[in-house]
Amino acid sequence: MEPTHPFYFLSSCFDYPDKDTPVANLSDALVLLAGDMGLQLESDRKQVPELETLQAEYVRLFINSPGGVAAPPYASVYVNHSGIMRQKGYDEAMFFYNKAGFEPVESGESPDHIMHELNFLGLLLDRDDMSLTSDFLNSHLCKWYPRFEQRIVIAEPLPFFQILAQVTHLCLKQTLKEVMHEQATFS
Amino acid sequence: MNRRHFLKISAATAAAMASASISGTKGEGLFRPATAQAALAPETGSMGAKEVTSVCEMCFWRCPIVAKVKNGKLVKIEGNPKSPVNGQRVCARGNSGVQLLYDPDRVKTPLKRVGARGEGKWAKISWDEALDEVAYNMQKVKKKYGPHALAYFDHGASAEFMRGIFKAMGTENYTSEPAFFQCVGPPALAYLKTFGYVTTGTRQYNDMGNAKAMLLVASHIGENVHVSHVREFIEGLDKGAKLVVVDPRFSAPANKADIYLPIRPGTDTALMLAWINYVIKKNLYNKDFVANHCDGFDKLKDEVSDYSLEWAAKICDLKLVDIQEAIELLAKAAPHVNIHPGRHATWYGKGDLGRHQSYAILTALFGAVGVPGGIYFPTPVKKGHAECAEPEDVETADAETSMKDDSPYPFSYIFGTTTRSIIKAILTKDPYPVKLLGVNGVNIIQTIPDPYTTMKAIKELDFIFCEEMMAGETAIWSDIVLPDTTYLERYDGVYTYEGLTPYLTVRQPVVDPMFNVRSPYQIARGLAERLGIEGYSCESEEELVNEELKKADLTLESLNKQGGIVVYEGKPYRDPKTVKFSTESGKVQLAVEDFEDEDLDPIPKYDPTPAPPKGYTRLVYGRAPMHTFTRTMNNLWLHNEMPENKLWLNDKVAAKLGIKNDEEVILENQDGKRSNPIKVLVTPGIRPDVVFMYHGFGSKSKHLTRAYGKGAADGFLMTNIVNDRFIGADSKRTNFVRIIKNNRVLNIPELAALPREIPRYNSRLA
Repeated sequence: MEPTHPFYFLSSCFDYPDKDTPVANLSDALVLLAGDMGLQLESDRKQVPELETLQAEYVRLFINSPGGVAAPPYASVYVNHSGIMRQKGYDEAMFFYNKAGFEPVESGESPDHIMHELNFLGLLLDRDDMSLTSDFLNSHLCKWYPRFEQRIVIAEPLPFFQILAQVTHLCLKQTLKEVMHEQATFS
Repeated sequence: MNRRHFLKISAATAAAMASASISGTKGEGLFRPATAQAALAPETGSMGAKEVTSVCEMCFWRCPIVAKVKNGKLVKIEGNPKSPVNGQRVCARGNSGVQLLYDPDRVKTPLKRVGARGEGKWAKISWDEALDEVAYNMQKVKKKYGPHALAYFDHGASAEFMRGIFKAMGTENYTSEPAFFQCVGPPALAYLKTFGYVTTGTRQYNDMGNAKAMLLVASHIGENVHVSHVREFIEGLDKGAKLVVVDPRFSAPANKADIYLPIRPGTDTALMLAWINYVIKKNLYNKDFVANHCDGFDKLKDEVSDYSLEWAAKICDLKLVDIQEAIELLAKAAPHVNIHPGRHATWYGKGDLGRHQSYAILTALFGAVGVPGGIYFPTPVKKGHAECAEPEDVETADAETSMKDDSPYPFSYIFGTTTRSIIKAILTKDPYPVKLLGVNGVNIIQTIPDPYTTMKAIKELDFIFCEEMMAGETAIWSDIVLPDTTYLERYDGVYTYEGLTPYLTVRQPVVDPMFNVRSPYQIARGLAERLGIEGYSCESEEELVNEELKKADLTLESLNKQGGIVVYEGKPYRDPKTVKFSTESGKVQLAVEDFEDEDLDPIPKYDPTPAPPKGYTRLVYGRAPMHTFTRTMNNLWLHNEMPENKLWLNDKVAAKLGIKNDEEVILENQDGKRSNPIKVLVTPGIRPDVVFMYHGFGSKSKHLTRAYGKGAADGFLMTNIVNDRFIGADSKRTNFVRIIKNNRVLNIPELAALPREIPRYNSRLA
C-alpha cells in the first residue's frame, strides 16, 4: 500500500544503523524525500556514506562524542531547562502515548527518543486522529524538535544527518499545517 | 477507509522507502496497546511518591537514603530518617543523584573504539559483542604472556564482582585500587600496626562528637564532606570541644579553631614529634595506659628526645607560644581528646606513614583509645557471605618474580599490587609484562599522579576496557566501554556500619535501569560464562542479597518492612583496665618491630621534605564540599554550585606579582608541564610558600560537556612522584609551580625564610 506519510521511515533513519541497515537504500530514499519536500541538494551531499562512518557519526551525535553529546535525541533534554532526562518532555510524551492507548515497548531507549516520537506520529496519522495529532504536534513535538535540529546543525554532521534533520523539520511543519487546516475545515 | 495524504510523496520516493524495507512494519514495533491506564496528568513534586530505601554512592561514605519515585521516575532523594548517622539529611552530592541518573552524557550502550586510543571515536555494539571481545582479549593475553599480564584498577561498590573475574584468571594483580595507594594507604598501615586494627579506612572510628578537644592536621572536614562525619565534628564543637587546626591554608575548620597553626608545608611530622617529646618530658601522658597497654615507651622516649618545641617552631615556621599552648590544650582534655587520624594522606611520599604513626602515638600517650572522644573500637555487625556471587575454587598462580610479594615496599602486599608498580611493569616489562588493563569506577588519568606516564603506558597495552557510568577520561582511552548501572538502578549487596551506632542496610534499585546498561554483577556473570569460570551462580542480585541477609536473620522483604535499615547497639568503648589490642602482644605498639624487621624506622623520624626551588611555590590540593574526586564535575546541579576551581594565592605574593583577584593565569610545574587557565583567588588565608586548588577540575574529556576545560587539573602538574617506603603510595604534594600571566613567566617571591635544615628541591629547570 502506498505510504501516506514518511514518519516510520524518518523514525528508522534516527535509529542506530547496524549491519542489517540498507544504508544505500536509506540514503537514496532520504534524498528523494528531500526533493519531494522542495529541498535543493548539491550532488556531493547525495553521496552514500559507509556504514562504519555512519555508525561513528551516530555515536558522536546522539550517544557519546568528543565535544559532548552533540544532540541528545530526547524531548526531555529540550523541554525542561535542566537539560536532563525523564523530566517534563518525557512526561508529555508519555501523556500522549497513554491518551492514544499505546505504550512504548522496551527498546533500551527512552520513550521520548525522537525515533519513538516520529513513530508515534505515524501511528496517529494512520489512525486519522486529527485532534490528538494536532495536540501532539502543537504542544509537544514541534516545540522541541527545532531545538534538537539546531544542535544537530551546530555539530556540523555528515550530510546524511544534516539532510535527515532538515527533511524531518519540513515534514513536521507541513503535516502540522495540514492537520490544522483539516481541523479548521471539519470543526 | 479513507487514507488522507498530508505530504506529497512521489511514487519514486515511496518505492525507495519501500525498498529500504523499513517503512510501515518497523514503526509499529516500537509501541503496543497500553496494558494499564497510567495517570494522565501526574502531579508535580514529590507529594504522593513511592518511597524506596537504598544507599547513596555519590561518595564512598554511603549514607542510607530514601528515594521518592513517581510513575517510575525518581523525583527526589532524602536521607533515610531511620538512619542514625545522617537521618533525613543528604549532602549536595546526595541530592544530585537525580542528575547522575538522568544525565544525557551517561554511557548508554556498550561502545567499541574505532579511532585511536584517546580520540574518543566509537561504534555502538551489543552486549554479546562487547563481552565476547573482552573475554577473547583476556584469554589471548593470558595465553601469550601468562596470567599476571592482566591487571585491574578499581574503586567503589561496583568493582567487586569484576575483581573476582581477574582473580579467577589467575593474576596476582586483582587488588590494585589506585584510590588506596593514592589516599588512605599510609594511615591504614600506621594504625593497623600501632593498634592492631584499621581505625581509618573507608570508615573512621573516630569519636569527634564526644571529644573535649580535637586536633586536625590539614584535614578539612566541612570541605571534605561525609554527612555523619561533619555532624559528629559539629556536635563536638557544639558541646564545647576545643579545636586545634594545623594547615598551611585557612580551611573551613580552621575558621572554627581555637588555635590555628599555619604550618610550613612538609613539616607536620616535626611538629608532631616535638609535641610527643613535650608530652613525655612534661609528664602529660597517661601513665596507667602507657604502663599497662603500650610497648616501646622507653624507645620512643629516647628517639624523640631531641625534638624540642623551639626547634619545631623554627622548622614549622610557627610561634613557640602557639604550639605550646596547643599541646597543653590537647593534653588537658585527655583522654577525651581526638587526634584525628586523617584520611587522604599521600602527600610527601617517604614521610607519610611516619606522620600518621605520630598521630597514633600521641593518641596512645593520651590514652585516647576506646574512650569517649578518642578513637574507638568497631562493633561487628552480622552479615552473611554470598558465595553464589563469586568464582569457585580460585587459585592465583605464583609469579616467578612476584610484583605483589617481592615488592620493594615491604608492606604493600597486605593491600595488593601498587599502582605505580603496575604502570612501571607496563612500560618496562619488569618483573613481567602487563598487557591488559581492566578499569572500573576510577578516572585513571586524573586520579593517578603523572598522567603523562599513565597515558604512555596505556598506549603500550594490548587491550584496555572499562566499566563506567559516565564517559570520562578512562573511557576515551578504552578499547571497549561497558556501561554500568548507577547506584540508583541496581542491588550491590548488604552494607554494614560498625561505628558508634551500628546498622545494616542494603542498596536496591529505586527505578528500572535507563538505556542499555547492565549491573556490575550481570557484567561479571556474562564474562565468567565466556571465560569458563565456574561460580557466579546467583541468578539475580535479589538472591545474592538474600544470601547475605540470612546470617542477620533477615530477608530483603523483612528488611524493607523495617524501613530498609536495622540499627544495633554499639560497643565502641572499653574498660581502660581490661582493654586488649589485636597486636601480637595485645598492646599498643609505640615502636613497631615489624617495621624494624624490614629496616624501616620503628618510630617516626623527621626527614625533611624538600622545599620549593627558587621562583616556585608548592602545589597542594583538597576536596570541594559539593564534588567527589573527578566524578561529579559534569553533574549539572553540582556544576552550578562550583563550575570551576580557583587558585588560592597569598595576597602579599599576589601584590608583588601584580595579580588581582579573578585574573586568569596558567601554572607551569618544575618539569615544564602547564595547566589549563585557572582564575586566581587572592587571599590572606594561605601561606606565601604554597598555592592550593580543589581537586577534580580541568577535565580533558570533551565527552563531559559541562566539565570539559573548566579550571585546572592538579594531577597534570604532578610529575615528581616520591613513593612512601612502606607501601609504595604515590606522593601528591611534591610538585612546584610558577605562574604564567599574559605569556610572561612570573617567579614566585620567597616571603618566608627557609631554615638551613630544609633542603630545596633540585630541579633541572629551577
